[in-house]
Amino acid sequence: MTGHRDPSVTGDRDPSVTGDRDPSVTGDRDATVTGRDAPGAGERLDPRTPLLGLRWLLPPLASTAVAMIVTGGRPETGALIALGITAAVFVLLTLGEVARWATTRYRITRDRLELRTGLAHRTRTVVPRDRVRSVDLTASVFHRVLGLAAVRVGTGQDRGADRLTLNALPAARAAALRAELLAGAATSDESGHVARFSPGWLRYALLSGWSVLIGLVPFGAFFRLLDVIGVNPAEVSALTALWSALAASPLLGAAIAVAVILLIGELGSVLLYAEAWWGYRLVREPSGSYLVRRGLLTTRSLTLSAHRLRGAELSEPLLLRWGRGARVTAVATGLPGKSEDAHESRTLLPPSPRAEALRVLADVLAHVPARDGRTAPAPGGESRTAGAPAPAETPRLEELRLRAHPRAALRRRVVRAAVATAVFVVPFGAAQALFTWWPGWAWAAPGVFAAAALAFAFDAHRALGHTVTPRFLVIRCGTFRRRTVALDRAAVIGWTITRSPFQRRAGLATLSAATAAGSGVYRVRDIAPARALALADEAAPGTAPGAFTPFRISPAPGERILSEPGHEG
Amino acid sequence: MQNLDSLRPPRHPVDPRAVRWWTAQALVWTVPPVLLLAAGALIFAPARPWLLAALAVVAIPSALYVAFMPRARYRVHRWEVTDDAVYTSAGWIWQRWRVVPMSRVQTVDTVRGPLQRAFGLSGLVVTTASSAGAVRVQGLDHRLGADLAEQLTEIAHAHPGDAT
Repeated sequence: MTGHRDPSVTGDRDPSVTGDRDPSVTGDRDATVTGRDAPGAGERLDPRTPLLGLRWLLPPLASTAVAMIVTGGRPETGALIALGITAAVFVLLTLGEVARWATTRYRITRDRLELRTGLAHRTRTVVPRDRVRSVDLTASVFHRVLGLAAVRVGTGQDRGADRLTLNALPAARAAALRAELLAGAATSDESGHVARFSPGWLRYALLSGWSVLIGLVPFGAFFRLLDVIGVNPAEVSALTALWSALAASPLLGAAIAVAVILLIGELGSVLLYAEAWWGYRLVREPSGSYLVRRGLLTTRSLTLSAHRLRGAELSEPLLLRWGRGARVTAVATGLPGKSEDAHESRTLLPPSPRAEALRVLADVLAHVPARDGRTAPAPGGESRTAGAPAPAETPRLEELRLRAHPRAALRRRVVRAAVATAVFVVPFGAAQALFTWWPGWAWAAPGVFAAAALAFAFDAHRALGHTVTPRFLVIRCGTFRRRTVALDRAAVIGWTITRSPFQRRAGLATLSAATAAGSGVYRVRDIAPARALALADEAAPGTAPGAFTPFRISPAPGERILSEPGHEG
Repeated sequence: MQNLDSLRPPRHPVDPRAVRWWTAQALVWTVPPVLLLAAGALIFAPARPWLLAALAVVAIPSALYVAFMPRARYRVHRWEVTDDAVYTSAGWIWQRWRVVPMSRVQTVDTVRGPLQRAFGLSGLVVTTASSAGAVRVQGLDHRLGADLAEQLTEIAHAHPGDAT
């Protein structure tokens, strides 16, 4: 049985091109383009592009150098063979790069951007210019040494192959291309500047939860390296001496190890933060799009089209929250799923002082384009001026009073803490019974664990909260990673009420708002069922009836009666 | 059916044949392990006590599942389509009630697995722009499912909007 697909419902999510059924990006793989293109059909990439292939040489050269040093300049046959293979692969890669450069042409016409590439397998990619939603520039260290930049043109569609990459163009040409493709792009950095990096923010890198893992990386890499160059760790006298010294006093040894790992981890965190966010600038362009520029070695310039903005989120992981820091991410459509890319382009503000985060959040929320859910925004990012005027609202999150969740929600969290403690205590009891040497004071650990779990349970309940502002549904939750999201009420595309068996016993329910943006669904956990229904009503955009309203038996006191249930389908 | 205070269930139950379909589906999943364990207990005499114990552990919950799940599911799986929205309820353990406004519907498909086809049933999948997943109504009469899909597509088509 075939599916029923109506093109007008299925296809264009983007109303900017009405009646145009052309998919946003056409990848005609060998389909229409046969034979060789006429020479000179379009521009070439920068001739220095193949030189970028030099970067492939670095790791093998480095490892060879290390091997040479370790073995005292007498390389084994194995190492020589490896070197030979590396050289051959490098030559092939470079030839491939040269071929790619020689066969790639791009062209900008009045209404589209076109890319042809490939030697044997010709690919032609066409992006209609009115579909271009983002033009991101990236320049790695190698690009920057050569004065190049890679340009990535995105159409803001959820589909997989939705973009076109020009790698690489001269940096100036790349910037010009961006300005050309994005009408209304900032010509200078100073227009609509929202936030700017301050070196003091590096201290928030210290509060990254990943430090311990980062601290372990060099050790893993070190032993891996020993393995690669064929040295047995047990034969390195310095290592065995270190090991026996540590083993002599285990407690001190463990403390030193932890300290070293943390030190390396924190240093690594700061370096990674600096590499990613040095020189950060958040600029709101005349078109309403947000532009993020950042990077120490690899510079990036990422666009977030105003079209795609549906709200923003304040994110406070535990350590960062203790350090009074926070991050701001955009709730935007067309940034698919959990990919690294999506994560990168969603972050509007890196870990920084909470006050700064709240200021940026308020600024972004004040500029979420108005959309009333039924009419489409105008193309070209003009929706703010074209559509209904946005309600004069600059929600300051810190001034909102969020509605707390019922005591029953707290009870659930306390029960969870108790269960976690029980799971922790059982092995302790077993150890006590089995090992005579098990010290009595070790029982302090489950005690501390229980106290911490209880504290987290209360904190988790305190975190729970929600409210509805004229434009946004605001939801807060989470203790290890507290998230406060403000979602445009008009961006909610479906409501779900769920009840687990435990929730039914506790008289609670979870209300989920589905949306095309961000993580796809935002949940208001553990509220009274009647409150869930009321909230779905309150959060309906404008004067629209609540989603569940037509399906209620009788309106609750004070509720509006909107319509009788519709006829049967 | 336990329900939210003032929310009424969607109007229509799914097709009664769905009970048999769910039973068949449950049997497909539960019978092979039970048979395997039973056969093992017959053949390997030394391991018999262990295998019989395992058989009891597997067979009793399986039997309960086959006996009760289809009816429980039939009671909670309901659907309703109005001019403005699709309203469904589902989930016999984790209950959920979903409403998707018609203006947010992207595609309407019907799906039929081999087992579902054998019972003359089909499922309706209503997708939206959210990555949180589609609204599904399983176990409809296949003719009704096809009609419904067409009808929904038409209604959704009549609603303007970009569905995001």
